[in-house]
Amino acid sequence: MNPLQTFLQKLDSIHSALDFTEGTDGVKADLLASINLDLISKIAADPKNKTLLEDLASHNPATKSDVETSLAYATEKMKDAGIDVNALFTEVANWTLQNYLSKLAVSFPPEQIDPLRALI
Amino acid sequence: MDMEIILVRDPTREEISAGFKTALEKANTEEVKTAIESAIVTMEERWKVEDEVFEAAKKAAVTAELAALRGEVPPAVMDAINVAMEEPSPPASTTQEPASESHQTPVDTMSESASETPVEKTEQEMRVDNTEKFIKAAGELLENAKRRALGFLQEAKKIDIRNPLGWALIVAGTQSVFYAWAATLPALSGGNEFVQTAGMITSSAIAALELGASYVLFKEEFKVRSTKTANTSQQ
Repeated sequence: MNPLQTFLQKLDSIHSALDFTEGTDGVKADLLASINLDLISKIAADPKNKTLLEDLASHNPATKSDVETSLAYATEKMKDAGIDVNALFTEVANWTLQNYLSKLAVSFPPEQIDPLRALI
Repeated sequence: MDMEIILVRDPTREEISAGFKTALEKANTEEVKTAIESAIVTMEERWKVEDEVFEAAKKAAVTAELAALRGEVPPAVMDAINVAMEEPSPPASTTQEPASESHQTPVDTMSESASETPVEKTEQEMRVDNTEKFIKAAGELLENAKRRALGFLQEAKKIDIRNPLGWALIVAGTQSVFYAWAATLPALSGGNEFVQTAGMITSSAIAALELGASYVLFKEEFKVRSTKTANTSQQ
C-alpha cells in the first residue's frame, strides 16, 4: 500500500468513526491539495535540493499529458537526489491529519476524537 | 551638478550608465574610482537578474492565465490566492458557537417539540451541519497550506530560486509521484472520479501557485524599479 492509500484509509476510518460517509470527496481533495502544497514547500525549502529543482525546471509539465511523459524523468531525478518522497509524504500527511482532527475536536466530544489520534 | 544627471526621474539604463561613466572620469582618487567601478559591476549584475526574473515571471503569468482560460483553475482558488496575497496572516478563528449554545436546556426544548416531523428535520439538519464542519475544517487547512506556500515564495530568494517556474518545477517531481499513486486509487476508493478530482485539485493548486509566484515576483520587480532611482541617488 502506497502512502497515499494509507492516508486515505486513515481518513476514511476517521470519517466513518465520526459518521461522515457521504460527500467526502471534496474534503479528500482539499486535504490532498493541502498535503501537496506542504510537501512541495518542504522539498523546496531545503537548500540542498536547489540543483534538483533547477534540473527539473527544464522539464516543467504544461499539460497533464506532459506530466505523464516527465514522470520517469522526475522520479529518477528525485531518487538520484536522495529525496524520500514516501517518507516526506507520510510525515506531512500525518501532520495534516493531526491538524484536521484538532479542527474537528471543536465540534466533537473528546471521547470520539481521542481514540482517533492514536490511529494516526 | 552630476547629481542632477543621476536624479533624472526614472532614468533609463543608458542614462544611469552614462552617469556612472561621467562620475568615473571625474574621479580624483583611486579609492573613489574603485568604488564606482564596483558599483557599475553590481548594477550590471542586478540588471541581468532583473531581466531573467522579469522574463520568467511573464512566462509563468502566461502559463497560469492559459490554465485559467482552459478552466483548470477554479475561480474560487484564484480568489483564495488573491485574498491570501492581500492578507498574509491567517485570520483569527471566528467560530462563535459557544455563545449560541450556552443554553442549558436542550432536553427541555426537545420534549416541547414532540411531533415527528420537526425531530426528523432536526436530524437531517444536524447531519448537514456536521458535513459542513468537515468541509470547513479541510478548507481551512488548505487555505493555511496556501498561505504557507505563498509565504515560502516570498522568502524564496533565501534559497536563490529567482525563476517563478522554479516553483512549478518542484511540482514536476511531486506531481508525478501523486499521479502514479493516484493511478492505484480506484481499487481503494471505488471509482475513477476521485483520481480525476485529485488530479484536478493538484493542478489547480499548482496553477494558482504559479500565479502566486509570478505575482510575488512582479511585485518584487516593481519594487526594485520604483526604488532604483533612490538607490542610484544614494550611491
